[in-house]
Amino acid sequence: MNDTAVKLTDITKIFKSKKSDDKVIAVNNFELKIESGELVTLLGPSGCGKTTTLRMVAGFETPSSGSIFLDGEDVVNRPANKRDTAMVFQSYGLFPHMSIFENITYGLRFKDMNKKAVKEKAREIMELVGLSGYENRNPGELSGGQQQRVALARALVVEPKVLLFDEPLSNLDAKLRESMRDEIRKLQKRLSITSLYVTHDQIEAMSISDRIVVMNKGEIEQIGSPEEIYYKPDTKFVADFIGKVNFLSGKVSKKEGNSINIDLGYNQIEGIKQKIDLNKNQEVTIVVRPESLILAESGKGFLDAEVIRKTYLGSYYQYVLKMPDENIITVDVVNPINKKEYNVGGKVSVSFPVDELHIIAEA
Amino acid sequence: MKKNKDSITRITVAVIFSLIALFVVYPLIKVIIESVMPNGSFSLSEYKYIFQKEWLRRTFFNSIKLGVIVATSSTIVGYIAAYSLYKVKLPGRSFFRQIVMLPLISPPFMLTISIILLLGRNGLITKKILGITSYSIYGLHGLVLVQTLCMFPIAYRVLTGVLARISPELENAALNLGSTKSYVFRSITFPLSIPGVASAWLLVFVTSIADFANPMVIAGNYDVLSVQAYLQFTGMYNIPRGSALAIMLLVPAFIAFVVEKYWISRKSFITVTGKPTGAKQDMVSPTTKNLLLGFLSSLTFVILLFYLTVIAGSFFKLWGIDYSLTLEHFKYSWDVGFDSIKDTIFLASVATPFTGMLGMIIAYLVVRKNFYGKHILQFSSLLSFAVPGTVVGIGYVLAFNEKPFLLTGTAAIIILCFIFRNMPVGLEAGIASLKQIDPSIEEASTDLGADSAYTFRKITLPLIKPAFFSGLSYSFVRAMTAVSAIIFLVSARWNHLTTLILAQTEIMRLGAASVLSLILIAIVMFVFYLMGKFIGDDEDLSEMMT
Repeated sequence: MNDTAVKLTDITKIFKSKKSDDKVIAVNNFELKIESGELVTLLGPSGCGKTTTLRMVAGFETPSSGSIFLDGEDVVNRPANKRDTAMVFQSYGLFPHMSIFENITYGLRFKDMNKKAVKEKAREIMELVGLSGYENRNPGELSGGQQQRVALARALVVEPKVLLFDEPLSNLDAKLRESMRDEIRKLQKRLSITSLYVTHDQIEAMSISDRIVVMNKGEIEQIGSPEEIYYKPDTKFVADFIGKVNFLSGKVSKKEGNSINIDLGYNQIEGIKQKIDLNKNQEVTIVVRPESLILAESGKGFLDAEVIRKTYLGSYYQYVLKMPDENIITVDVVNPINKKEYNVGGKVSVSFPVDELHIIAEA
Repeated sequence: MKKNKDSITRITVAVIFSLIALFVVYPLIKVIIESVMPNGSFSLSEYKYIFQKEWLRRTFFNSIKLGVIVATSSTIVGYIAAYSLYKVKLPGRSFFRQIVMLPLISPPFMLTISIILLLGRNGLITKKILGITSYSIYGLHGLVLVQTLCMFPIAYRVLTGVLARISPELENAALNLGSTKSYVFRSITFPLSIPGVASAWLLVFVTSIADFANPMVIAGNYDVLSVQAYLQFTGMYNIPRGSALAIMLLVPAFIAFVVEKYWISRKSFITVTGKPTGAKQDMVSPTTKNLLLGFLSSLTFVILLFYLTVIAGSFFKLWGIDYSLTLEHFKYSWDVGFDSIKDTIFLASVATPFTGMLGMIIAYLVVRKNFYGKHILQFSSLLSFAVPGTVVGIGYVLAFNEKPFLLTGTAAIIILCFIFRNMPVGLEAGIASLKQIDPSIEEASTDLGADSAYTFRKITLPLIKPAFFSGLSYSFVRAMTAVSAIIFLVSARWNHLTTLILAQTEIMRLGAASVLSLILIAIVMFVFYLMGKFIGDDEDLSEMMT
């Protein structure tokens, strides 16, 4: 189970600009191993190279340099139709002139299978994705969610070595997106099928992935489990991209064993457990999530601040505060029903558990 | 970018490049060489001669003048028709829309036959009704009238595409902000349609100067390049001079084509993906609306009158002299025309499927594949649109009259000429339609294991079927109604109906010419009907894709 299904080594992709001689580096020095049965997500803003990477695995783009291994075999020079991959497209790419049955069994035309086996296989897969009875419909007659299922079934039926997802849920409405997301994950786990998933939606990435690759400007920022990415971002970019975050900048003022103090300028935080190698006087950024912060009446907490905005969001109150150094931070007060409310313009005090802080060294 | 991976694509590209080089570019080069090497060595003496002799020099300026006048008048008529039928709610819109397209599917000089029957020396209106005998329809004015009627549908088609895509929301927004209806037209609708006006003008200009049959019959003393090149080449056997005149015709046509393709079309404000929308509310005052209705009715009356005249001309014994009914023109036409009809149908039917397929394959390569020389391929494929038929005809005669490409006198030379001259019709339709299809549909096919050829056959082609069949229809019409290039290529063994009609018109056997024209139109309409059946069955399919 723990063998490498997909390996990308030192992948670089350079596009030539159509108008000038400029070159655009879409993907740079990309390295990734996907274990068999694992679902790995490429996450990043648009233009970060995630889709290009996916398309290189599928064979729609050829890397400018580097190798792609599927089950240990270098497939970089193999055309897309000879690669054992199957993709679920953003716009589904269903064949509008074919029935659902023909769509789903299309990939089986290129395998040595008799009609009976094809039928049986299609029946099985349609039951799996909940499309039984739709064999003779046309794609145009199905809802968005159903079309999505057809796209999924069509990719699953060929039993690819790796299943590729290119922002498959972006055309669905919010509710449907959530349920399809869970369904895809359930199926993927049940069939234990190796998957590479591209999205720009961090919630989607967190909820569906075994591991997430955060990309920015063609390069990998961080690879890790959803929890690692969320709580222990390697860079400010990762911290900022995944959920709401507060940055406090400061300087290491004291170092004792693996405990450090950080001077914020207007106050000092003591006894932070050191997680990375830091020197005295080094500039650092403290990363703290809004839900980690605790509000109290002015003077009863650690840092004083002024409320400049508050927003009620149902399950929590979001306060925007101005710190003494004019820095703006966000605090989420979860389940606010019986908690004290603070008014705009008023003073509050902010505290946080020291072990929920994450430190990033400034370059 | 795919490199060295898709051998089917590579081979196809290579084959198509060679074909285009041989049947589009090579004949053109032959004409150029012939014109600058009259005695086997380089010399510009032919061009010098043409510019020194007033009567030859005049042909050039005559052609340009004709082109400018006809392009302007056709664009105006086409604009009014397009605006009335797509921006105003007029009664009988669908009827008018069909009538104004009628001249596009007729033999090019059928209207000339009508105009001679109506306004010629023995014309029904001039002589019979008004009793005038001194008036002559032959000359620039007659030519302008006929060409405008023939060619305004070209402008109309371009302009409907543009006007229908100007969203009524923009016009409503202007009204909503307090603009008057006429100011909406001046400040919104018209400025947005200017690139379309320029395109339409240039397309008609190219068509007008390239026209051969109408000037041949009705220009009188007004000499134009296409006719003079033909007369020099085939009448006087002065091959270098004919070639030089052809090149002088090619240059303005080519310039207009390049300007249209690479400059005007980029200026367009309207995206090609926009869906055509009809008028939501009238943008004109009731008076204007009545004026437009009056204009369209007159236009329709004239077009129908011309058609009815040809029908009448088929049955009257001797037009202008003896208006008794007879079927003798039919009998005569059958005797002289049977072989030509057979030949024409055969030649057009063989050429059409190849034309359509070639257009679709090139469209697919251009839109979906990346390969070296893609822009050259697209340019040279569309080139045959710009090259006047006279130039193509001369080029084919020069290029294919000796080994290893000895084709003169065969059916093959005519069929090849049809294929490469008409292929741009399907190509443009194919490109437009392919751009509407989500590439991931084809990628899905490849991803699941199909190679390019299988994907093209099973996925792409069925999806662009409507464009394919409309490309086929128009290729067929163009093959059936071609004159200017074909007149150089017909032979005793292989004749074409249009050259026969032209010959009958020239010897003033207008009754026979009318009958043969009607037969030609009947065949074209029948084929349109058949193709329409094919496309009609797939309406839900084409709807689904847009």
